[in-house]
Amino acid sequence: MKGKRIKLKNDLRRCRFEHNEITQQELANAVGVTRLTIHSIEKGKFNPSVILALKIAEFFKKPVGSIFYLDED
Amino acid sequence: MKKILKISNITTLVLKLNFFKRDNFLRSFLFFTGVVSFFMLFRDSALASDISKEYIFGLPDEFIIFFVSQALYFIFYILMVVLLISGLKSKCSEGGEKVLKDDSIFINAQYIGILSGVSGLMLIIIFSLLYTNVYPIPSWAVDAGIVAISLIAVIPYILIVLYWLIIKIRERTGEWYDEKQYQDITRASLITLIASVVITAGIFITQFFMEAFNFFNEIWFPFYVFLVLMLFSSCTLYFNKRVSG
Repeated sequence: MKGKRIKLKNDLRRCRFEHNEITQQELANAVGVTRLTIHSIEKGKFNPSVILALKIAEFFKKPVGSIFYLDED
Repeated sequence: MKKILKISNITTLVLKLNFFKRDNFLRSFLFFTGVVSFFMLFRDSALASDISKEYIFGLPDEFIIFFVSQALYFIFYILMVVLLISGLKSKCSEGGEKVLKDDSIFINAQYIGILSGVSGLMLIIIFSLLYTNVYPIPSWAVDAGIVAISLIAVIPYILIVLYWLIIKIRERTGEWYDEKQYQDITRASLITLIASVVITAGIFITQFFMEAFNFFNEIWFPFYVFLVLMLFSSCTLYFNKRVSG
């Protein structure tokens, strides 16, 4: 593990697509954040808190690990 | 008649609650020029009164200041027209998606913070350079001028923050920002702290070696306030918008 850079990645875009192609705004409304926050998570520019990750997983009715996962560079 | 029209324009802007529904620099700039030109009306009345008394002795210097304020009003009216046209266009193509947690006021507040900070810094520096090098005036007039300029520049920011507070007052304080906004503010605060200390320390040290920098003695407080406002708003906006590209 030492020396390797670990990044949090996600399949949020795919999840939205599979979930009736909902928009970023609809997901943002459902989990109580702004659209820009969802957009930043999808782009990998912002790591959500555990609470937000759980809320998103609950919304899609999927385990957190199937949406968010660690990726080593 | 002109004054009544201007006051009605500004009132419409402030009272139209969906004015900041979209984050848009034009709207923020329009709000800023609108508020500033409103306060300039009072200054115009005083100038017009002075000019009327001195006119018989030739063209007074107040005319120059008077023309500068007319330029600001002109920008304000042009922006009003542009906003009106862009508003009509967007009405036709509006998607109408429901937004529960809106970030447009947050972004507009940063735009206005930058405008207030930059204009405040520029105006007080120009004013202090003028009274130290070009037009020496009594110290009471210097103090009054600095206070008046600072208030005019900072009032648009105070108004947008009050407007934001009125909207947020119904929500729990923990929900005033979402978690990304908290992160953006935290980063911006750290950079503002470091940058403002470095800049003010630089000016403080420079004053020992260069007499030209002594005018900062009079304006250090508004200078620091506007510097912090400009740095904080621009950093927050940068971090918030960074992913948009």
